[in-house]
Amino acid sequence: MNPAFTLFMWARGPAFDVALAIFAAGITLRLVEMVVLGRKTDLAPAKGHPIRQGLATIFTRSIPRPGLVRFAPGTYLGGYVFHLGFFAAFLLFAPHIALIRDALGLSWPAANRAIVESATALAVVAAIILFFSRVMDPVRRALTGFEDYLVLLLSVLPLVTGYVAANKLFGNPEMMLAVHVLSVDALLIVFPFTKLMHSVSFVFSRYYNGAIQGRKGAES
Amino acid sequence: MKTRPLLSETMAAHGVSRRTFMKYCATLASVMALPPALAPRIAQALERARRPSVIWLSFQECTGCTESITRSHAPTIEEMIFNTISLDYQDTLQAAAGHQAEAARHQAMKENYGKYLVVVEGSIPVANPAYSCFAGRSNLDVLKETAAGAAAIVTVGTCAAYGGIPHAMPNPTGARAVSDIITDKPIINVPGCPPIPVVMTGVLAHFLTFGVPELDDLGRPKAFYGDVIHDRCYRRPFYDKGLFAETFDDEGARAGWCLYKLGCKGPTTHSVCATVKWNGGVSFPIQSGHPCLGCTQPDFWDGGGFYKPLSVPTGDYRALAAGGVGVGAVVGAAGALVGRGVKAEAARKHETVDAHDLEKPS
Repeated sequence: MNPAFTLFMWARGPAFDVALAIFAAGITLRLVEMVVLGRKTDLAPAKGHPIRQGLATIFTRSIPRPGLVRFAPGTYLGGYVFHLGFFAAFLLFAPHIALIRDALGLSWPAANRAIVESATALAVVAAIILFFSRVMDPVRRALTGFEDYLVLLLSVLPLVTGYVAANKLFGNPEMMLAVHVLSVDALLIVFPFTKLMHSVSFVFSRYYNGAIQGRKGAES
Repeated sequence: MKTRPLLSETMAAHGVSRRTFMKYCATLASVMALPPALAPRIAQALERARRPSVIWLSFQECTGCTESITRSHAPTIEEMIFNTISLDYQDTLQAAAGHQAEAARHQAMKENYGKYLVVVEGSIPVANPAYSCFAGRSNLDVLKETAAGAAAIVTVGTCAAYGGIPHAMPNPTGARAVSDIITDKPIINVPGCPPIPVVMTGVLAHFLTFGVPELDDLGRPKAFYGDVIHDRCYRRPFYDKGLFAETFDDEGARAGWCLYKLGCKGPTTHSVCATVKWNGGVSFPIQSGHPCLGCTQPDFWDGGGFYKPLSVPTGDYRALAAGGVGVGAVVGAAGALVGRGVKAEAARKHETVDAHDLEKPS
């Protein structure tokens, strides 16, 4: 009767259920694997404070090293703007808060439309800058594989489709919402099995890096 | 029916002044998003229109649509329009019953073959026609028979337009919309549960004045179903500001903030509820503090719940995610243990080699 409605209901029904199950299973799988595999015990006495430095590094790595912003401004600023914009659009938009409240029982005040849409637009612009910084630089281009482009595309699609759906830019609002939810479903499915997993595993990698250097008594 | 008075004559008999009539035509033009200059043309067409014969078929429905239209803040010109059409068959309103009623339908069809308008209220049970019959005949038979000589069909209410509540899962009667059955006649869908009376009279006025109105991809007149309620809602500024009612009795609800989080379907529902409103422009559901149910949309009954926000998934996703966590934990632990076993086995099989071993002749 109404293909847009049917697609929307499928996207927020069975498709979301399966995508979330894959997302939850994949993330748990990767985390459990990381913890159970563990690391070889270092029997040498530590020269510094591995645990303290490991924990500190989880946070200090979010601050760029002096000079690096000037060295690669597109990568650094683009990266910051993309992440902050993405999370602002995700966590401050009322429909998303309604979803989180339904899932976890947590709720907080929503931001106004100007903030959410500006954050979305900035994140998309940042993603375009990040894309060009990969393509233009020969070294980064050589290091970039299919997965990197796929991950970048799948990260941007929810932002673009969400903006389109919220502003009803192309006619049928149900179809636009369906496309938006489907883009999120796709993101959830690939999340645990691609570099998107960094949003969870960064805690481990930063801790290990900090702890290794801390054990040696070096900076991290 | 032989001597059908013109609308202008009927109006004069009811004491409706021409000024009032012109105001009504201007309102209709405005509601239909037509230029004001077309109001006189509407007036002219309505004045000259001879009472068109209308056959109103009631199938699987609750009669709410008839109730809505007959209670259109009477006495008004809308009611006049309904008085002016020759409602030759309407089994809820007509005095005749049984064979007399059926005879009236057949007579109207015979006298106006190819010219009469069929209004359908209610869905048609196809899987088991016995769920809804009259005069011993199935709704399907009566619809096909009546539609054969119709100039056009107007479906009133979501049941006739898209199946509506009878079509809701699991659809025990096999309810179908008129457009699923009749494919060779112009069909104007006027969905709603029920539709707004002025929308109904507006569609009728448009049909008499300009013919079949421009329809959207769901067969609805664009003039009345072009915009979504959300875009015309007086509570929209609260949505834009991020101010929402979280429950039906919190501060936000009392302050009249946006009802999105209480399940409002305004963002996906096409209707003029927010502008034309109900009961003579008094109010509409959102204004009275209740979220829009999305009743002008197909399958609105199966939209995942009236009080579930549009952004909330409809399935049992928490249980599936919990299952996913369990499966992930088992598979992850098993994979890691296998990895550790492979590593231990490699270490066990590892043979140390020194310089003496290398110098031995092989």
